[in-house]
Amino acid sequence: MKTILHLGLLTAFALSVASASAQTYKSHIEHPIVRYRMQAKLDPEAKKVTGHYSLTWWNHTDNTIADLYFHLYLNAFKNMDSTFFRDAFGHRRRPDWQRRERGSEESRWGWVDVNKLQLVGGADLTSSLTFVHPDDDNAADQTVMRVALPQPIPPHGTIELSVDFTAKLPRSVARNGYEGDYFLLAQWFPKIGVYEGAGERGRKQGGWNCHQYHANTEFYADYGIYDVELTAPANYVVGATGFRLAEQRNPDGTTTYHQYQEDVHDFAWTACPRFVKVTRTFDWRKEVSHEELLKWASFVNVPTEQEELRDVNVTLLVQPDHVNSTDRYFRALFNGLKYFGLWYGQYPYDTLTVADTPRNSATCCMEYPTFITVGTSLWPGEHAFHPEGVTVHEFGHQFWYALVGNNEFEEAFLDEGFNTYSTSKVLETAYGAACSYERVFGIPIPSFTWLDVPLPRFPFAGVPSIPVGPYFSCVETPERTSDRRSYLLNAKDDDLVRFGWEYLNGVSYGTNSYGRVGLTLRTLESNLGEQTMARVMRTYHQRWRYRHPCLDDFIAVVNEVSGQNMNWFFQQFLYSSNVADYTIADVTSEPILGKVGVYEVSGRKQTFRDKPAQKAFEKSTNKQYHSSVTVRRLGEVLAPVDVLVHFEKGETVREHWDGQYRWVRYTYDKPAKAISAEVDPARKLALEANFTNNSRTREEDNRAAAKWYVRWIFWLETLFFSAGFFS
Amino acid sequence: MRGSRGDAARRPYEAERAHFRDPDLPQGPFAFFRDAGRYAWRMVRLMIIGLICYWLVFLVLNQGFARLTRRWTVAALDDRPVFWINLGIGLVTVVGLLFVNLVMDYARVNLVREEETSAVLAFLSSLGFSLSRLRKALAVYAIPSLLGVGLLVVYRLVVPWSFVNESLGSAGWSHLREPLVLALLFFGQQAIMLGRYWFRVAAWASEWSYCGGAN
Ligand SMILES: [Zn+2]
Repeated sequence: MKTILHLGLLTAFALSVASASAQTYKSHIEHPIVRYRMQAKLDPEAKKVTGHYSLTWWNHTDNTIADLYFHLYLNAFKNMDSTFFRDAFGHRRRPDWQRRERGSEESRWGWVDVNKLQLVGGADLTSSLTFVHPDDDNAADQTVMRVALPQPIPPHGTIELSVDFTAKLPRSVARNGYEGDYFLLAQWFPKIGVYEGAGERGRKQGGWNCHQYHANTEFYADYGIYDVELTAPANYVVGATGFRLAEQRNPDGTTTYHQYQEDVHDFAWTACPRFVKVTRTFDWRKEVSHEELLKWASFVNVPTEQEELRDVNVTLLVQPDHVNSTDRYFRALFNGLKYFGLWYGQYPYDTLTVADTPRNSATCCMEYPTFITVGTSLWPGEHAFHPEGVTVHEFGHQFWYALVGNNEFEEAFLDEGFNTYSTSKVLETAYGAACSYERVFGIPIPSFTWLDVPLPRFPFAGVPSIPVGPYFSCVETPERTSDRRSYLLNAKDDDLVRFGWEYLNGVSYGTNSYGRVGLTLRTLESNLGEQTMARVMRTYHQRWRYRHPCLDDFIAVVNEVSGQNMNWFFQQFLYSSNVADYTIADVTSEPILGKVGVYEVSGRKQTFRDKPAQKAFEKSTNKQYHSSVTVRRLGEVLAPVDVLVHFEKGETVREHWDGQYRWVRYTYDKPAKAISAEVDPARKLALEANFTNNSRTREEDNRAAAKWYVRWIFWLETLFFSAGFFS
Repeated sequence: MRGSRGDAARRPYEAERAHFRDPDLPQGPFAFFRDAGRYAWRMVRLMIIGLICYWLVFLVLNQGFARLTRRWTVAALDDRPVFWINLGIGLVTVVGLLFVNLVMDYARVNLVREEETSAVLAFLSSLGFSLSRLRKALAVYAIPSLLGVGLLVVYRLVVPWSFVNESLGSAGWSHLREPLVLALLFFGQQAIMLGRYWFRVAAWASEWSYCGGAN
């Protein structure tokens, strides 16, 4: 690290720190749409940021554009009449400030004011700003601003604006704000919307895509360059999007950080004096062996050179109480960088900054380009993927959202859902199965436990911790079927494909944006095969990097790469709220006896009796049995399924049913009896509503029940015995 | 440990005495149920007092303290102090519950031993007794109880769990080993339960004996 000391002209000195390593990122975008040159200063006492930027905006379409649209996201927190809060009434998100005592009423609300907006070298347009409401009739909502231009922007023309703004941060409600001396500044400046040309994301004609801020929705923005100088008190630790070009101490006790990043569509930052800063390098050649490189290159079908990753400078800003999670955070981030990189293409940026959020802050677990927020607990459980799950997920958004820039307002499932799928694949590859429960003395308990509890020095001198870990053991949950519970509870609330604010409620938004999509992609993977699916995902990712895809673009890639028409699949699983449920209704097996009953023999009626026929069967050395297996479709989803029938002596027969009609029956005449049958034995239909009815044995079998009975009866007795404590 | 002064004072009522108090009297199911019925309603009244006490412990120590500390910790940015405060509340609540349990134990002993018909008086006298000799009363109460809990630890440590899990964990079923392991496990567990009940009775017997000696 090179340090240069300047002596100021007057009294103070300024300290400028050149960055440890040079910026190596080369832009992949021919013509950036936005270029922000910004200066912003945080006043932690007032919870305000005052800022100025010049914005160069390029009209990439053939249209002539008469006005500009801006997001003023912070105004969602201005009052209870904002669409954000009105959406949320009766649902989840009302500020719980009432419960949280600290801070005055005034300091809790947030807003952003555009103090001045002017064409560079031209007219002052401040007086022409109006609030508009493209999504609802809420005149009180101020989260979208329209600027009428004196002169329209010609096709492929450029406009340059100069903007002064003041942002007041709210007590954190969702994704941004402050708690005490901790600040998370996201969606904090007036941000221009996305102008979509005809044909983009299925649009018939060009227009602005600039939605209001809703309780459930996230964001959408165009790619470009952020060149930002952030100023905060010198004792604050600051992390932000992008590469740090310089750091300069100012005479007034503040420090200015110069951040720069190309090819990103947002800029967020955090500041807190208590952050512990840890920096490590993701050295990709150490993390990825040559064998792994070859293996995955062939798996996703690309030349080895294209499979190579790059080194990344990772900065973790961790809360003092979470320092013990540092290694786990880094391991999770490195696993993310490795597998996302190998599967979808290298993480292209030089830096990744990760902010660990304090307890009680609603800013956790968010994604911004090259900057994410994560969270952990004081003593995270040994077997649960916490903080790994959230860390890999938020990192994964660098690929699904930051690099492939879908519209989170309209198609949240394209990043949240794809990321749920990818994250679970990384977790199972890097860590194995998750534990949704852990066993303590044989009893399964939810896995958010603190293990190996560190003790204070006194009075436990010499005993550093209670090693309770070994008494816990994992109850494994396969990643491919996790999230089923939340999906099944809300399976019929909505079709999967909806605008973010049009779902029944926040829970349905969550289900349909995250877990259900993950399960759907797993089901697609089962249909296509793992390798084809990997190639689909890679092709889709590479094709849409630094661009804005929509669902149809993904479906097109699926059909193209797989060489199949999978539209039936998407119609079934994305555009309806039907559930899949296949079941084995019946398994029977009967001896095939000789003649029993009245038969015409030589023109005369002759009765063949039952008993002798049975006796003859017993004696026979060539016994034959008639077996039947009835499979039924109880759900509305039509999907092809496998049926596996087990016979005596280890013989199995596999059937393939198109799953169209309500039922199918398979019959067999064989020397062996059918023992059991199973529909969808590989659990390909990850969305299946009820796995417990997927198999059936011909004869009931109480052995498992006996095992469970003996194991549980003792703990039940113990429980009742302990309940006697209160008598 | 019979024949204390307390017994002597009650000699005139000998005819009415519960048979289980005197091994010389005829024992049997009839005597047992008659004696049990004799104390039943007092015990129920005592149990209601006990439940009210437990409820107060939960209300005051657990909920009350939690509500109080929530106000200080709700805006805390650090996890550690919040954890220790919550752990403290948990421990105070457990201590409160154990104390009520101790008092109720001695109240039950008192109720039978002194032929006390008023549950309230039995409770109050036990409360006074427990508070005035807290340490000894606690030791008499705790030692057999902890031995009972110790049986659980023995169960956990002595049973060859890897063998059991291996035998029962497989999807298959051998005709001898699995039923045998199941049966052994079942009877072993019942023996542990029996032991726990035995230590519970031993705890009461110790308390009975200690009450007699202390009077
Ligand atoms: Zn996410």
